[in-house]
Amino acid sequence: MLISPFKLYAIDLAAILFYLSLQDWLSPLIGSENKKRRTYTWTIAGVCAFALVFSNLIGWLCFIGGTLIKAFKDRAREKIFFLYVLLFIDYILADDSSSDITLHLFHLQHTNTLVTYTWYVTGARILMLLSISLCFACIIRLFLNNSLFKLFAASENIRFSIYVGVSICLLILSMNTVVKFYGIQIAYFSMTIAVFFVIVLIAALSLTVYLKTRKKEQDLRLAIEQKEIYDHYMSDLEENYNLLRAFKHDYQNMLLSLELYIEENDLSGLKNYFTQLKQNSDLELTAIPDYYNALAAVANTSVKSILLVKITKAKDSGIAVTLEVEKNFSLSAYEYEVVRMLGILLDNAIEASRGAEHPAIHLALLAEPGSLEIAIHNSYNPDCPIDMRRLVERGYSTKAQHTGMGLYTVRKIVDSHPDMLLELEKKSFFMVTVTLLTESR
Amino acid sequence: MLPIYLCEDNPKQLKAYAQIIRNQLDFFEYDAQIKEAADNPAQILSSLKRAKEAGGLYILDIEFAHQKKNGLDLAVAVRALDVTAKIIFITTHSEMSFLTFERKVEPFDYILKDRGLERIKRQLEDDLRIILERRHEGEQSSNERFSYKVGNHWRHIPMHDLLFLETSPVPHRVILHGVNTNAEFIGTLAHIQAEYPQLFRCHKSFLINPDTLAAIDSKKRLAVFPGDLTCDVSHRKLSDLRQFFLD
Repeated sequence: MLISPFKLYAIDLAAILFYLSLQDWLSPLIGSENKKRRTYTWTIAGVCAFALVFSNLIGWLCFIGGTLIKAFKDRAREKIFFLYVLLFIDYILADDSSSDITLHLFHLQHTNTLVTYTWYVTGARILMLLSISLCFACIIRLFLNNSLFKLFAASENIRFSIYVGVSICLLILSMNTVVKFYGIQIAYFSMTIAVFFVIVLIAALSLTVYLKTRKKEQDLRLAIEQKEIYDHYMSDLEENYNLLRAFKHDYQNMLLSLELYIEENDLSGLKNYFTQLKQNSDLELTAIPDYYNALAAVANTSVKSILLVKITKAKDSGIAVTLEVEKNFSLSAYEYEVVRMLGILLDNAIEASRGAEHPAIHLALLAEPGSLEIAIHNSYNPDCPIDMRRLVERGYSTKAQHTGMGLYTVRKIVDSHPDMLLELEKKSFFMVTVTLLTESR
Repeated sequence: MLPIYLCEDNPKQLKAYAQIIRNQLDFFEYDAQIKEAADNPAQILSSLKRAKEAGGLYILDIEFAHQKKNGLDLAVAVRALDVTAKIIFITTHSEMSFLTFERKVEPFDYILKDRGLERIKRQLEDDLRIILERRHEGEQSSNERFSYKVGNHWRHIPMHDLLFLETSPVPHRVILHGVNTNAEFIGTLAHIQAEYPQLFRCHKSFLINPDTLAAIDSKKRLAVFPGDLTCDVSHRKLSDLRQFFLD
């Protein structure tokens, strides 16, 4: 007796309901107490029943999709998902092995279509499927309570291999389905495509992982660099504080000695002492760098840190640096570009002023109504003259072996923004000015 | 006559500076006069607005106690009213932001109080002498410099330092090539040519200063400037330029 399509539908529905109930049976074991689970289960069952009317493939896809959604809705998401994966493997294995056993049991051949679709065969197959599934489910239930298994399940690697297992199972399942409906050749073809996609997926995954680790590494390096700079900053601040404290101490002493001179009415002594004092205080006052104050006025953190980095670098190479920042200097746009240009221009300035007799860099960030201005003046070695013409050409550099792409890059940035202007001037100092127009013309 | 304005909130110092200047003016019989010696910026500005004079000398302190405006604000305001103003700052080192001042008001000089009264006196006297000498030499200086506006500021270079102007690949922008300068500003060659008729338009995108032209390469049709700078000359303008150059 042949099986009618309606009965096939009933079998599929029964299988779906069976697996849904298996899931519900197992999920409390892993600690999920979601009250909505039952509602989800019934919804999935309903959707699958409806979808099975059109095709059993769509029905099963609804089942898998619904199960996945259910897993993701759960609070113990990871564990539930893992459980479903196990059940899925269970289903595939049970399905394949039961069909194999049935084939052997009834000596089925390709030509033997009459026997293939009879109640005997189907009944035996369903029985096999159910018993194997149940066996697996029981094993899973046993395992879930086992502490060793819990340990395994917690391991990233083992979980990963189980996921790989399930993807292979999925591949086999889809192959089977395709063979069933379209024949072996199409299946072969689709498998090639599937394998290709799997390879692409793996490549993409490994690339992501690689990039992630690289970014992490870079972040770490940046953090270390930043920490070094801040350490530097802190120690500098400390040094300044000590200087100031010493000065305060001296100041009190000085007042006292002045008082003594005055009390004794020793005018010539007072005069003498005063000139001496003046020289000393000049020396001590100029020893305190004043750019920290200016740095605090920079509103943009990225600009502040590039300035700090470059000023520290310049100071380390023995260059006198002054920084002037107007209080309302704040970039609302082009932060990235400005940081880039500052980096390049200050590197250039440091490089150029190193050769000068009195290495010095003066830096000013100015705010005007309608424009912001970044002015960098640096001393340079008059013996190695700067050729104005070649300065803005590609690849020109006074540094013999360096690439000299710096100023060219700045020029390119300025050219690509209609509201930026670049000026170069060579006097006793070499001067670069970048103007950002903040108002439309 | 050169009008002189003084602004310093310490009355003792104000008196001292005024005395130094007066002595100098009397001694050399300079054609100058102290118009205002004030202890607050507002007084200077109101007096300046009334007088409407140009090219004055302004000697300004930077920090004024109990005043909203500081010396820099005052200088910017003065510069707006009197474009050719000569500004001298007298201040302590810690109040100075040299580069900021330089960019914003192009002061004539800075005098540092920290160095002592004797030094201030000498520097003031020198500045006064130089300013008056230059003034004597002629007023036509505005004619002999090229001015352009970057953002909010006018910048000036001497005409003999200007080589040529070029249209930028970026629209509405002009690139200035000077002996020691390379700058960009917003403008058009046509406007500049109208304002500075002594410049010669040798090409659609070049406006050259014939006074600094070094040579003409007729074969390659190039105008050559000191420092190996060249610019194209259009076919039509070549003979004109040669004529211009020979004259």
